[in-house]
Amino acid sequence: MMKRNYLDEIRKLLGDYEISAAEINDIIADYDRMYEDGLAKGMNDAEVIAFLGNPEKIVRELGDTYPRKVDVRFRHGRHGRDNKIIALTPFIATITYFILGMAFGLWHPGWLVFLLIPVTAIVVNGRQSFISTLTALSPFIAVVTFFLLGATVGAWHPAWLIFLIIPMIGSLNKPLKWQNIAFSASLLIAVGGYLYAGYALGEWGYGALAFLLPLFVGAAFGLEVTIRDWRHMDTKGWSRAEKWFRVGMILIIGGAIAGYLALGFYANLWGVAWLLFFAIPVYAIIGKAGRKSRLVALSPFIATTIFYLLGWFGGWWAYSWLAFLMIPIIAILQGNR
Amino acid sequence: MHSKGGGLVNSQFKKGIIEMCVIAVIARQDLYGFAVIETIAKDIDVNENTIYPILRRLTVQGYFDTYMEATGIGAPRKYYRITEIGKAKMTEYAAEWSKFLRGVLKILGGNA
Repeated sequence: MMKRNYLDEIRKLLGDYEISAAEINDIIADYDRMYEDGLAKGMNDAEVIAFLGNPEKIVRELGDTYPRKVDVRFRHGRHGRDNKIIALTPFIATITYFILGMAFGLWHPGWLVFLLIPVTAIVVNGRQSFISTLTALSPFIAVVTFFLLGATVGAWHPAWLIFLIIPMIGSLNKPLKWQNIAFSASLLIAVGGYLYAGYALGEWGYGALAFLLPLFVGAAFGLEVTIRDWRHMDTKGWSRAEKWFRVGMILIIGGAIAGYLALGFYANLWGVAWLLFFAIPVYAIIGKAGRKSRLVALSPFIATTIFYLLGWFGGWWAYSWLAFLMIPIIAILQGNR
Repeated sequence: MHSKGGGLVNSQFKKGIIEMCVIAVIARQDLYGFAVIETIAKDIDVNENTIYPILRRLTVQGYFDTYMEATGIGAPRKYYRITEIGKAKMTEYAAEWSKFLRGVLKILGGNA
């Protein structure tokens, strides 16, 4: 069981690298054999793992031979074409924005077209899986839906609930499936309860207590996962950094939900509090992205935050969109290195 | 004061030395993965997790080839055998390292 966990962890981490399935199988077979050799020498499982090294470090060392998929795409693949696409989006967005504003008077919510720039950068720069891309895109999906529902049918409330898709999707990135599903289900139940209390009973205030459910569920699972990971760290061979990363993600998701609800309910800052959800993809990028691609991956979030904060607090929407220009600039500068 | 890049240089330097040691032990005799790690870790204080990745890289670069040998119990073992390219690399390393060590000893001895 311990050997299986250890080899599975190596196999999983190798998935981030440009290695053929046959080579991955060969590496796993080598570690399988070396593990058996260690046991045959009288070592116990923990000693064998300490001897062979933890999977994270092993795979990082193998990165000398096999580059990460993200870096490969960034360095060779399509970065020239990608950068052209990213570089074009500010112009497309600006032209669309002025057409919407001058021809139809839709300055608001026409500014939403500027979100095309970070969205394009996220899609084009490429994550490794559908769920990772969806996590990065979820803040933008939520904000567009929120403003469209608000501006067209005046449903600002309860349209803000759409922001809860961000932690829901974010939680699906984590490994333990049933806990993630339970957490997402608790969020849906809370939303249902909140809407019922509000619409059927007219008790929006008390209805908000329904959100304590996902907070408790998240905290309970987070604690359980943390204790479990801690106890089985030897068999997974996780480093201290990997464990703290996982603990940090739980805290970030919980903190973002709590902060969003607190800023919304107590300071009535629903319109800006959603930016807190950026912490989820930003944290994941800082923890997992390769050095070369990190700044490029972060730039859509940095630009959107600057754009939105300047617009919201200073009313400088007419100028703050310029922040989005940093995305193609960073992509081009990093791509040329 | 440590420079920021000191750790990286140090780590690259160590990797270079381990690489040379991996080639040297396999040049002496054909070995399987566990034995390579064991042989090197016995004499040098290294992170064992770096040895297999180096072994694999050197194999990909053509310094070693491999063959399987039955063990009687369990799966067969993969043995690493030095190639002609590996031997040439070993000669190159030995010359470079001797020159380097002579220089260091000369400096330490105060004869520079």
